[in-house]
Amino acid sequence: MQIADLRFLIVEDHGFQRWATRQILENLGARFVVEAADGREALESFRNAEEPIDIIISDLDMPGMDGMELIRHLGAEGRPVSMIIASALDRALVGSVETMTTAYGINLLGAIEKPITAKALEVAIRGHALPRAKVDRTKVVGPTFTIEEITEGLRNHEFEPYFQPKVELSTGAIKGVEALARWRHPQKGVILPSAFIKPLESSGQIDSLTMSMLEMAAVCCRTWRRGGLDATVSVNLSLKSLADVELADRVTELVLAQELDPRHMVLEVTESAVATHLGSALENLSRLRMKGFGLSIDDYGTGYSSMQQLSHIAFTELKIDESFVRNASRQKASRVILESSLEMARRLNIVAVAEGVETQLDWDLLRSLGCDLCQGYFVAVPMETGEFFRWVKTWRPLS
Amino acid sequence: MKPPDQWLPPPAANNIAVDRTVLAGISCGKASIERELIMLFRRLNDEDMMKLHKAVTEGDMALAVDASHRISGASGMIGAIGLATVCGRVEAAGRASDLTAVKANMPAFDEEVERVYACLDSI
Repeated sequence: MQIADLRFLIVEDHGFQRWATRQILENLGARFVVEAADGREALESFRNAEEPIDIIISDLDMPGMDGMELIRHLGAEGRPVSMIIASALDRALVGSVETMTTAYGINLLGAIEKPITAKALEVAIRGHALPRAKVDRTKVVGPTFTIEEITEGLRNHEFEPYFQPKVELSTGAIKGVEALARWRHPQKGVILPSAFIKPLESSGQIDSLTMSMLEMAAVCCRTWRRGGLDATVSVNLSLKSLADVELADRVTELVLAQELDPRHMVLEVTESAVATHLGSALENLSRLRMKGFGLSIDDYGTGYSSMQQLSHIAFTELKIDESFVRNASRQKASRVILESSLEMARRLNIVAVAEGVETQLDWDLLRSLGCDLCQGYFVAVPMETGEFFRWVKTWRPLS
Repeated sequence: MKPPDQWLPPPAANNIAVDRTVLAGISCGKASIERELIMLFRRLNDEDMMKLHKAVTEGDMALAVDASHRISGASGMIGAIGLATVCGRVEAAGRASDLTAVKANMPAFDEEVERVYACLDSI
């Protein structure tokens, strides 16, 4: 999106700095700029804006409502907006506010050290996500369901996989596809996993969903492979499922029954899943690997004993958690973790996948760091089967 | 006798009161915007300077921090790095409630303000 099409809100108590920031924005091509002298005024402008504000550039240290309180209120509003923090405060303190901003659900584009320059502002603005990403990032407070309703849905085959591609950064080629469970509820529409995974796990019925997803994902993968798309399919395994030592055999049997070679399927597990049931998890994962399945460690960096798990299990893929990816272009600590994870994947000879890639900035950084694959809204949102096949036909590898 | 290098003027980059390229970055070289920018800077800076001097006289450290922080931010934005640096020292001393250190930096502050204003007047 062009800067001229974006709507900005400058929050700065100092009249001169506010005016100068506006000048810089206008020099960069901005046409819609609103100003506020403190958080309270900003919140009012944000709420009453005729057209939604896209990017807020805010100071932190202001009399009245300061920048941190403003961020909290913006988070509570639940409306998509991007934020650029502009502050002369101590770097470590600004770093904490950056983390806080993300925790409140605000899309942080960066923190600029004052004085603001056109170059710094332009770089941060370039990180603004595409509108479709904003829509998908809104907090979804979905309906809640009883376990009876969920199992009824399973019996009625109302669950299906949505597919999100994993793309090779060096070529743009589609190398893998993750199957994500969705419930197509007859009255309430498409329901996200947060509404049904936990109840299924708690009641010990998660395997029904896992097996159903595996089966449908295998069928789809077989179809696209016959159509010429050389991509694996990934399915998430629940930590509860790994406790059952017979899981590996059941999974293998099911996938083979769909005429799919196990080497075209990747099973994703979270670090905590492995840590919870170490004995049976190791047995299952070793057997699955032996049968030819790919094994992926999901949300890498957020669980416990990450490196220990890597040394125990023959993982073939490392998925770096989106929190490190999203913050890497602006936070030194996240970038260091990202770089170290990529280096470790290289040395262990396993595929590195960056999750949560949402902007050109993320893409460029990961590419320059030599990351293998990426997944995220910048490439595509999760799509239902038909839409995914159409998307594959129109996808043009990026340069 | 002073060593020879002290007879020479200091390097321009270290001694300029206002970096004109920073100003131009905001005004895009438009004289009318530059004039407006300078006028606004001076008007608000005069207010903040008065606050800072009052704070020092009354030993009001919170006000000293606030005023020096504002002057530092604004002067940095027009490329008056020397003034921003002195204000940074005043602000740090104020945050440490060190009135003696605040006072010790005020002559340098006044001198820098004079240099910056002289430079802005010449534009």
